[in-house]
Amino acid sequence: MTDTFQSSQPIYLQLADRLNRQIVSGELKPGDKLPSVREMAVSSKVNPNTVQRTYRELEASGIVESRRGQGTFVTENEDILLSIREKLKQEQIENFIQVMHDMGYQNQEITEGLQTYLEGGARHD
Amino acid sequence: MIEFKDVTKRYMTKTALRDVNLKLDKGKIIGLVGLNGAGKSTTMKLIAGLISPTKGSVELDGKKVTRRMASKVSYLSELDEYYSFYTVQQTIDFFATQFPDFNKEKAEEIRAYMNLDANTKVKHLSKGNRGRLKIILTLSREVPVLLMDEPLSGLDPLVRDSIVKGLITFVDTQKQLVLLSTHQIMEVEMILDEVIAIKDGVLVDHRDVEELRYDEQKGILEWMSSIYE
Amino acid sequence: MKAWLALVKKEFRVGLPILLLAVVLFLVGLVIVAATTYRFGHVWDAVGIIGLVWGSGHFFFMAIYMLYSLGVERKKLHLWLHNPMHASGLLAAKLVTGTVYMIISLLIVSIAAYLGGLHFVEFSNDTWFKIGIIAFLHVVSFSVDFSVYVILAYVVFLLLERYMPSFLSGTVVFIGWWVFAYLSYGLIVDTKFYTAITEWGKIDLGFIANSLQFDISVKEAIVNFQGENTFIYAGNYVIELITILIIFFIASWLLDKKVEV
Repeated sequence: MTDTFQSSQPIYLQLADRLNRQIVSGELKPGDKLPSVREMAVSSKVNPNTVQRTYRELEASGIVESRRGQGTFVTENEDILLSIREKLKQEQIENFIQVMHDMGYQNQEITEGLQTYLEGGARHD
Repeated sequence: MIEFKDVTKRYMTKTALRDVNLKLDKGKIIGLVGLNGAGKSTTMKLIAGLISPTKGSVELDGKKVTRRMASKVSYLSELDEYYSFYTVQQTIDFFATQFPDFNKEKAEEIRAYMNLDANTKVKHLSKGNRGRLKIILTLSREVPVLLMDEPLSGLDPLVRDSIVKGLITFVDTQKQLVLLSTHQIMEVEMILDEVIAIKDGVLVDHRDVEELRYDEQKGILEWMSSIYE
Repeated sequence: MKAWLALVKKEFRVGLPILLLAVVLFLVGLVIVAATTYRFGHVWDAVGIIGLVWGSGHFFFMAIYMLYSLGVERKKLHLWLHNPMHASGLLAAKLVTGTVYMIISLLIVSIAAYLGGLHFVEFSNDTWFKIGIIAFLHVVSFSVDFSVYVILAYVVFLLLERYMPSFLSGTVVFIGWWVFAYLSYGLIVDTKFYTAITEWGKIDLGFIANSLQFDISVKEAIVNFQGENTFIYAGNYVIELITILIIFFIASWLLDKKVEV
């Protein structure tokens, strides 16, 4: 959590994004307790109000749930976890494709390139 | 919570603030930015009741601000003059007697956090440590309004960092309003809820920082340079 | 009250240099005088005289104390005035501590004056006591009285300092002080009205003069006290007290509402 945020994007979204990735990657496991708002604010050096907002957003999307008096926990609901996993994947692909299209690559070139890359993946890893 | 209505503050030869209208809400950390002499300190002192407007009014919770609003306002001056014969601890103890809302346990906690020796005389403190002492004295009061005039100015990066962390740790962002003026925007960029820019005594803009990022994909620095260019 | 007492404690610390200075200067003066008069065998006379001179000099003690103490705060008005306490409380803390310090210093001086004076003229102890108390109380109260005017002058100085250079502000206050003193004497003190409101409650102090005359005539000293002139008016004291209370509250009000940091 030491890397900094981009000052030109809303911090609460960047923080939400970061937490989503940690959950999908398994760094945060289903049922894990998230740091308290203040802990999170201090460790990521942002305003506690911002962390509060991030937690609210994540709660609204269902990926975390707050238990009264106990804190905020990663959901154990498989469906939601799967859908977040899927959503992040979509987002990344969209971004990638957008960039490739902007540079003028055709769909076929992209899929071929991806395939070659992934097959030889071990070498690049 | 705090409201400026058409506030003008004139000194003999210059106008420090001109027709400022401003509303500040509680539970926010608000940055006041602008060049030297733009009117930041004047704004702070007006809220602290240490000066009064030439025209217009400054109100806190609907009441006209006076010097004795010090009971609701914790003000940190840009100057760091303290009673030099006191030690750090004696200074804290003296403050505790003057303000009923002063939380001594909190002061001790912040002092330990800031790593400031309790028994050093104030006159022997380095500039950085005087900066830390100011933070202790200001944040230990449980008041609705915290005013910090240039809390980071002239301090080295390590001290600035510990002060910013101290703010995050010890300000009650649910209840307290923090107004801080600074040149060091990079350091506080991530902890501000709102930002106010003043230029030559005129309030140029007052923005919610996250909205600014969302709407214009701009950080405070870029936004400022667009204002000041 | 608790906050005010804590403030008093701070003021004791702020004003301590003035007490130390007064005592040290006195002791140095004593030593020098004693050393120079030793060979003539008039040491105790000299001690008595310097005690009297330094003692009456305490008329200015409070004024100097207030100038010093307010001068310390002038550099940190943002600290001194950032306090929910009424300005009269802030000023009163300084007056009280200054008075205590003056009394301490004056007691030390009084002892010297007394010891020296015993060698000078031999009064009965009772007379010494009476004269001593009256002189002591007068020096203390005149000194406090004078310092209240100084407080007002200083607050006006702080006020003007926002609008002009410090030097100019000081000059204006200094000139204003003399104009005020001149006018108040001419327009108020020197009138029948003033006489009417102050000259009541005659208190005869003839007993001092009488006992002095008695004691002194024994010693055949050439001191001429006129018994019928040694009286005071209570009215003078009451009116002066009311005046300085008003002055004090004007100063407090200005500090509260008008002085800017």
